[in-house]
Amino acid sequence: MQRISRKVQSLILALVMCLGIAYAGSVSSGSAPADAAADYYAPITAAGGEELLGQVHDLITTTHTKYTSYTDCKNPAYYRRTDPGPNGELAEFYAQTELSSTWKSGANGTWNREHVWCQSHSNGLWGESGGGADLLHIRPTESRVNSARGNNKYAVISGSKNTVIYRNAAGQDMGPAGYTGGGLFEPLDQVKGDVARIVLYMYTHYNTYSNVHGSTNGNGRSNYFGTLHFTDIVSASNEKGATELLLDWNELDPPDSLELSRNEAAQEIQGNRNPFVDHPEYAEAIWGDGTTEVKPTALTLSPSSLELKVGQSQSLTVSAQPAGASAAVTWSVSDSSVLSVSNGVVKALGEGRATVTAMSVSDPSVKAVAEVTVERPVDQAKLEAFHAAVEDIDGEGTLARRAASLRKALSAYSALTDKELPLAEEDIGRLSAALDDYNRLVRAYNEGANDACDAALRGIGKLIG
Amino acid sequence: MKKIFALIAVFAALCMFGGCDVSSDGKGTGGQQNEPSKKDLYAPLNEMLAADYSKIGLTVTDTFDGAYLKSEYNFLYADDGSVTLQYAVERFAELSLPGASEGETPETSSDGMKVIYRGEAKIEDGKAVFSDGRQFSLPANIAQIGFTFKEEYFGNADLAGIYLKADVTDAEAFWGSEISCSDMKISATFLDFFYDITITYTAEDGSGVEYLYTFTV
Repeated sequence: MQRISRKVQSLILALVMCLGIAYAGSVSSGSAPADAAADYYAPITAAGGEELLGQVHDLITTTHTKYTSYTDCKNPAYYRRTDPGPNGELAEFYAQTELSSTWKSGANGTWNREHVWCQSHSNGLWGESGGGADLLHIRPTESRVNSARGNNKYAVISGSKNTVIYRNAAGQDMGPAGYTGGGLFEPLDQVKGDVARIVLYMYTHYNTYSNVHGSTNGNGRSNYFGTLHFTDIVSASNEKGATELLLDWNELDPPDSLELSRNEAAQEIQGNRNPFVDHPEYAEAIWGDGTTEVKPTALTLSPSSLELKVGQSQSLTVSAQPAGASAAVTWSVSDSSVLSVSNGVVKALGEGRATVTAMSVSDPSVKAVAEVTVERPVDQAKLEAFHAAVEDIDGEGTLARRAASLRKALSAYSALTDKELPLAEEDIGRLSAALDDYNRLVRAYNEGANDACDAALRGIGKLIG
Repeated sequence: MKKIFALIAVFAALCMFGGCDVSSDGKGTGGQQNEPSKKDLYAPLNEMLAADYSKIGLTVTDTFDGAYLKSEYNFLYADDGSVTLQYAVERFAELSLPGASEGETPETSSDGMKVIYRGEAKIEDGKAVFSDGRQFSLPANIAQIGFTFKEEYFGNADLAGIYLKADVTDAEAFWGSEISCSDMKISATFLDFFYDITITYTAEDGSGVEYLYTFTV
């Protein structure tokens, strides 16, 4: 038997190892994403409060098996998976529109690595490693948007605020990306929940286990963990106020498909997930009133139908079933030319029929609809204008003045609708009579003109010679 | 002959506008012939009326209550003997409530007070045939009516070699047919042929009437 050379043996061994790794990889990722997420939270048994916080901390730190580097955080291959945007590019985090995935070291119109929880507000805990390089933390933002946000804390800006505009490399306006004012930064409404859930994740993960009632920091290095407060990154007078703002934002802007796909990608790359994306109710359960939010199975609007006149307003009351379920909703109308709605107050803008929809914040599939009919009232100004024009009809002046006054009355008549016409019958009768008088005069003048032309032509009848 | 057909077309055009009274027959009271007079200075004018013209224009301006109506007629004689009448006639527009009037909206003046009827007519088989296909038969008394110039028909006359200005004191005699008017005046310019004749008068209904006849040889 011919002996195999050492080089060949090495080659065969390397080939076997590669196949083995590939085979192992395929086995470990054999579960479907939804199943993987469900399995991931199997260790969570607590209903809320400190116990739930501790269990979540332990889970996300022990499953965080690969701590990515800051270099990984500028890898387009990773970020096309964690922040996929249109046309195979990225999604700019604060504007949530297309951002080129080409890395150009932060040139204008290209992406930067955004620390949602600023380095300068992490009590020195992270710079470009640990939490400062976590794929569930670092988000791609356009470099000027990144600069505009700076290290401003998050808040709802109550005074004057400036809109931060995201412009691409060509200088095109790609849309708003948030607001600055008073040294603060306010994300767009549709990003507030994304920010809140990242902040909650960072707080839960990178506080030492003793701060968050956990039992371990998982596989991380001890230097990655420390003491964090919500007030480090949220502008509030105390921790309670900062927590309430984050809970409000979590409820206002529920998790979207971008966050859910980010969780899938992050688990594949670094091993763990953001639990507040998969279970936004954990936030309220931990920091709210201590219980898991009850999602509604149905909503009811009262009244369910109403009739309004243009300009009138009425409030709608929403109730949720079962008892104790969240009645937080967002409002919308089917026709903005007929209705507007704000915080359940419906205002009639124009004649027609439209619906008002209340959609549950907890479960957008749960909705309630009210039918609204809007009638237009009689336009008293038009009636009065028509009456005045009829009063002003000149029945004795020159033909031109009579005609002008009649045209003015006809114009005012044309402005009347089926609402006003029944109330203007007397004036319409007067106008009709005036028109008859005018037309009799016109016909007489036209007859005279016909006679004059007839005579003119008879005058040259003898031209036949 | 060309002029017979042209006049037919004109009468037909008048009848379209609801008032042409062709029954007001011309009595030819002005006489078919000028009686020779020792001093018949007006005889040349009657001869000029009988001349062949290639184009005769007529503008009738009728003034009512501060507003006026203008009616224009042009008789065009082609080399092949055909006659075309082009007309543009104004009449006051009637007013109505929106939606009350039916049919097509006619052409109107810029101020909306008048409607304008335009068209053409050609003579075919003794009838005036208009551009929309309507036809009108020729009236019977055309040849017996029309102007006759006589000294006794005029007052304050100023007749020179190239113009005439006068008051028409016997309008019906001058006209050759019945005409209801007062204060008729005439002015005309001519040389061997008429250039133009302008006649003004006050109609029975008080309106002011002006006729401008233009002649092209």
